[in-house]
Amino acid sequence: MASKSSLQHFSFLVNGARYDVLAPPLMSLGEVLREKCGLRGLKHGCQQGGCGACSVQVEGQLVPACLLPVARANDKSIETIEGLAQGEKLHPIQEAFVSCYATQCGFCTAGMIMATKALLESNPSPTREEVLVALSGNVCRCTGYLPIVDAVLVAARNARSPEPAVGTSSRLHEAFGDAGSTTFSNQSGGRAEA
Amino acid sequence: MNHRLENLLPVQDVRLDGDVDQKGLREVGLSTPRRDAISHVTGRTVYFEDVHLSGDVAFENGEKSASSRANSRN
Repeated sequence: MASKSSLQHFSFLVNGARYDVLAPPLMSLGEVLREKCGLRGLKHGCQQGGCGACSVQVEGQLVPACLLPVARANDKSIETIEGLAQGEKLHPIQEAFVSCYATQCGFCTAGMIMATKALLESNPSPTREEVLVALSGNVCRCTGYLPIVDAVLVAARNARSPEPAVGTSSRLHEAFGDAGSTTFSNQSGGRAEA
Repeated sequence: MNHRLENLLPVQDVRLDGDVDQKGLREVGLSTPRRDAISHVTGRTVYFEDVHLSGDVAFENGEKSASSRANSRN
């Protein structure tokens, strides 16, 4: 347990807002964000960097917040899941996750979405295999990953041409192509193996 | 009491030959509304560890809650 004398002052931007906190320098960024900044969208799963539930972006780079000491985040710009939606308007990635039924219990969802955001920022047109690699650091015990991968591909497709509504049959076929992907069997979102 | 399948299931127009009359179906193939999805994707869903217990709350096994651990560091 750290003593009060080991507390240091840290300052960083989270979703565009400046936070000034007193914390032990080795306290994890995830714990600081959750307990001192009140941003509980990121989740503590394994706390060993293995599950990805605490993923945030620091200076645009995806990091597991449980492994990053807060001292390393000083004066940095941090993005968390709370910063994606603009009021009630969801971010396109969030819309894709909703329309593709990519959440069940939802515990991994924040990390999945942040990993998706980092992926699409570096690679706007990922293949299914690239999505699988990009999400390999994020664990989901509910969905079986297929709807999550679908959602990432739909989000990428929507980002390229945002006109039609996400999650429609034609949009999914466009996003996935014919080879070995899951598709929706009808306009209402029932799933079927292609 | 009649325990035949067609009497037990509240499904209209089910044919006993295994086929179904599409006209009578209103639910099969339709998505169920996901009322929790919005809170999941925005990080607003509250889980056990998100409940902030005030004070020095400990569980029976002696472990403190995450919020108490964080508070005790200050």
